[in-house]
Amino acid sequence: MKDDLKIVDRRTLIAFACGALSASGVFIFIPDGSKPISQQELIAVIKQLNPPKSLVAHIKQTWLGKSNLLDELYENIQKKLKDIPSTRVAIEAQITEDYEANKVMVVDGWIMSRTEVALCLMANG
Amino acid sequence: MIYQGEEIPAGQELVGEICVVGAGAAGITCALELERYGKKVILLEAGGIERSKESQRLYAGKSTGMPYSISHTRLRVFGGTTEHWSGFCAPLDSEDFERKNYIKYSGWPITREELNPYYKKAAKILKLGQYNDNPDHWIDEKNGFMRYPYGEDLTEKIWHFSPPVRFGRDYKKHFEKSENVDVFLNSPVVDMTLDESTSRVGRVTVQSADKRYYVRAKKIILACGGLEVPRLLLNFNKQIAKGLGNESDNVGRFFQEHPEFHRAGTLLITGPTAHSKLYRGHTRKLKTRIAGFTQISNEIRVQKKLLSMAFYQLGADQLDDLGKEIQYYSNNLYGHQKYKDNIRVFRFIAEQEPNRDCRVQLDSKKDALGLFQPKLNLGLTDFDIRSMRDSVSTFANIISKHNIGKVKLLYPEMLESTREVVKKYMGWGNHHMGATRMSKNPSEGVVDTNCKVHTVDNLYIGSPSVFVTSGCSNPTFTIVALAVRLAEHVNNTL
Ligand SMILES: Cc1cc2nc3c(=O)[nH]c(=O)nc-3n(C[C@H](O)[C@H](O)[C@H](O)COP(=O)(O)OP(=O)(O)OC[C@H]3O[C@@H](n4cnc5c(N)ncnc54)[C@H](O)[C@@H]3O)c2cc1C
Repeated sequence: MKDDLKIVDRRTLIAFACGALSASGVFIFIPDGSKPISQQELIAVIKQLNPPKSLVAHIKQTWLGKSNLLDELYENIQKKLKDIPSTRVAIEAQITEDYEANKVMVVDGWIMSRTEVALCLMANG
Repeated sequence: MIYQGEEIPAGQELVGEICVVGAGAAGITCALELERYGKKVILLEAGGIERSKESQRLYAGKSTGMPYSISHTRLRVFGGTTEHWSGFCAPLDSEDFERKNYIKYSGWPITREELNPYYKKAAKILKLGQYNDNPDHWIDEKNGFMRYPYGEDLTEKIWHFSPPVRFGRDYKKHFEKSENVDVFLNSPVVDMTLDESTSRVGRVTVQSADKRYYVRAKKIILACGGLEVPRLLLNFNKQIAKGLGNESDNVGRFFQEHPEFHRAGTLLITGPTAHSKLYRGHTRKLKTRIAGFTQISNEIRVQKKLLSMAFYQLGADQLDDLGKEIQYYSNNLYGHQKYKDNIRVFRFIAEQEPNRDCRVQLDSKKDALGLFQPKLNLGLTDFDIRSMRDSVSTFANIISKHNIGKVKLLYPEMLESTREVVKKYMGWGNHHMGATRMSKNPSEGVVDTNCKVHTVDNLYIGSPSVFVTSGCSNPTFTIVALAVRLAEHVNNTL
């Protein structure tokens, strides 16, 4: 195993999600044969999306620990990565799918997909 | 010529080829068209040239369902309710005429295609400019008329705007000089008497001031508005106890309105088409004012069992701080940072399912003319409510799914406690439709496909009360189209 590659389970991912994403060079892996989520990529995507701090705080205050959004995000993206090589594209595809399946949440009146909300939960507020 | 009813001596009998009752959008259109055919028309109007409290008081009634003002949603004056309508015009869609197995009592006995030539004529009467309801006709990317990239999930529906034509004020001079149309103001019709055969109206009774005069005509067109037509038919019950044309107990039933949210929320539109002029009221091509409203595609509506609904933009809106953060986040997500966003208020107009119990009946109270006042039971079914909720969320989801932008609901509680929110914040379109519906079979409606009352040979109805379903289009364009068609039929069969 390379130095910059750690094998982590879902719990670890969620622990990261709750504030420890500053660690870099980490792969997140589930042992079902599909392509592991690269945490680096995930961090990169969240950095690109750069959800503003008070939005993140608002969402964390409302949902952190109260729903299984992070589990769901993890599983969904993991599944997508079987066919889609890039985490960013997998996330975008999942957001589209969320809206198609009415998997949405209301943030102060705004309709947002569960994945969009989950990404905010994972961001450093 | 225009006469005052008060000038007609008591007991006098006027005779004409055609008698039109009511000088609003439908009645004046019928009169103008019949005049063009060279027919002699007596046009009886309950009100005067100017609005008056006394006349308007005769439009009072009781609402027993959801709160609704029976008097304020119509005008009893020459020109009718068009004296203060807003001029929004759109035809009903082809699908609105079709029978849908998930909408009970849906399906017109005529098609949209049959109405097309009459819509063209109606567009002229309503001064819509260059009328074309095909959205493709209005796409003009060079001039900023682009379509939002929502694939086939949503469709545009083109609204045209009448200046608006005020039928009374705009056609008064015309009728003053008319040789074939005689207008009688302050001449409310208070009764119709069937002749011995009881299959024809022999005499129309008019009450003007404290006296009565009468009109005889080969054909009579009742065009006094979508609430007043059923009310009068129910009142005309001396010979047919249930009311004229009401043998099958359909008069007054199936009343429909258009539920509206005048301010439903905020549309944050991003990307290259964000500032498309297509969706705002814009004047294009030969001074025609149009706007593209948005509808959920018929396929999705059928799949999700939804009634019709149109979403449209009202004006600019502003974002609060959280809104600005969502804007920043979604622009990063869509890669739309380089475009200038557009923030708009949006509203919607919805269809109500035809409901037998949504009806106009007679109250026990009489008006000053001795007619029983109307009693309206207007309500929304569970289906109406569910459809409104699901349409709003489907619309919001489609906008986001196609990266067009984000939707903020002003009343997000409507996604859970829809009925309560609707009760509290919803408005109505002021459209009175359905209460003397068209049907092939006399047991299922009041008028036939020619708008003739099934059981009376010479009585026709020119009114939105003949609508079977109401779609999400404001009704006057269809009212006028049906009136043009009715006049043609009356002329051909006289
Ligand atoms: C504020 C407002 C805004 C509106 N905006 C729009 C819009 O933007 N687009 C749209 O499509 N629709 C709109 N409408 C609805 C539109 O005005 C009506 O659909 C239209 O006027 C109906 O035409 P009508 O001929 O059936 O009835 P009316 O125009 O109401 O005419 C009925 C006529 O019959 C007369 N009458 C009544 N009783 C008798 C009697 N017993 N004897 C003789 N005459 C009688 C009345 O005085 C009246 O002149 C609006 C309505 C309101 C209130």
